[in-house]
Amino acid sequence: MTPLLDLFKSASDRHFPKGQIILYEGDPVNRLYQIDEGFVKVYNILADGTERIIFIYGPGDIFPLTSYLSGFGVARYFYECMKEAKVKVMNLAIFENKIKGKPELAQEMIKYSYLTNQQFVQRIDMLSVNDTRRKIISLLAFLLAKAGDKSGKLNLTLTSKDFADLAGVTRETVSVQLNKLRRDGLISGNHQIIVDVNYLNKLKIKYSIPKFA
Amino acid sequence: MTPCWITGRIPPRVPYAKIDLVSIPKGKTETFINPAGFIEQHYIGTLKLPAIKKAIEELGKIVEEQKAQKKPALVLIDTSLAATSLFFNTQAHTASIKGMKTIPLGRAAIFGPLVAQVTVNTLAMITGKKDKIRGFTSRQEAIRWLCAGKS
Repeated sequence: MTPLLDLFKSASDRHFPKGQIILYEGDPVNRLYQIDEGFVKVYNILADGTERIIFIYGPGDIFPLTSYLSGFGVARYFYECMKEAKVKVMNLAIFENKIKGKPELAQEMIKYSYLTNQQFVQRIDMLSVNDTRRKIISLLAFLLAKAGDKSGKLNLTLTSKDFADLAGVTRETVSVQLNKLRRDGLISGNHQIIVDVNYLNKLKIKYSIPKFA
Repeated sequence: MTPCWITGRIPPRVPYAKIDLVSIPKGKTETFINPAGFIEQHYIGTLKLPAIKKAIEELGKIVEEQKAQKKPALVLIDTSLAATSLFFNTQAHTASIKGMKTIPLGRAAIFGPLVAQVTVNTLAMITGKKDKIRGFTSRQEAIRWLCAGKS
């Protein structure tokens, strides 16, 4: 366990059901959350009412750390549970007291925050790509990094709406592309998707998809 | 000018000094009192630890001088041209923490990229100087916050 996660050992446990919004966009950041189990999606709502999932936090992740450390003070996105989540919650005043006088933690917090920010940037880059096939392949690489195991199995059940919101395309386009990828042998399974990791790595080179930070 | 592939003449070589190395600015720091009365410091390019330490010492001296003259010690630091490596240097963190603890600052506003804000706010939190030292996105925001502390 990293020293940063160690801080949350004494934090209070909370269970959030699937679909529960933990933080709304614009909410003041008063607490930090560390995920023990489950996944939390980070999204915003576009002017036309569609959801755009920007990021997914999984076990071990802390949020909204960058919003807090950058001094922004309010949540920039919505944070919603994708499945039932067990989360440790810590008040900011307690967190600040815990880290006071511990410079060794600074390095880790800065690095973690920077990495998370890099991942956000990579995700936003993915969303801006025009080629749908490339978009879906990079999305699968992202999902595998955040919620997959070594065998390529995704520990997250995603609906076609989730896929569409994650890729920033329509459900129909997602279905067509997923079916093509299924026929190509990149993915298998319906509810629980299994990705052929070796094939995905080859495609990542072909489509010059960078390694996830 | 007629292109060289038409004239067949080899173009003269551009002297190295004339090439604009915008992407790799030379590492340097500047400390001065600006016309508004703020102690201003600029971090530019890739900086090594001795340069960072020297800049912090210099800042400390000017702050002491301002204090001696009973002037407010309001510090404005620009890190927007500093290399990102500056914010991940553990020894630079240690030097900054020491500076934050020892320099009798009135207020210090540091502006630069997101990583600069995160680094500054984290170090300020660790030293317990969150109210006196803060990171900002822009110069305007930083000055606004410094001015709010003047009154």
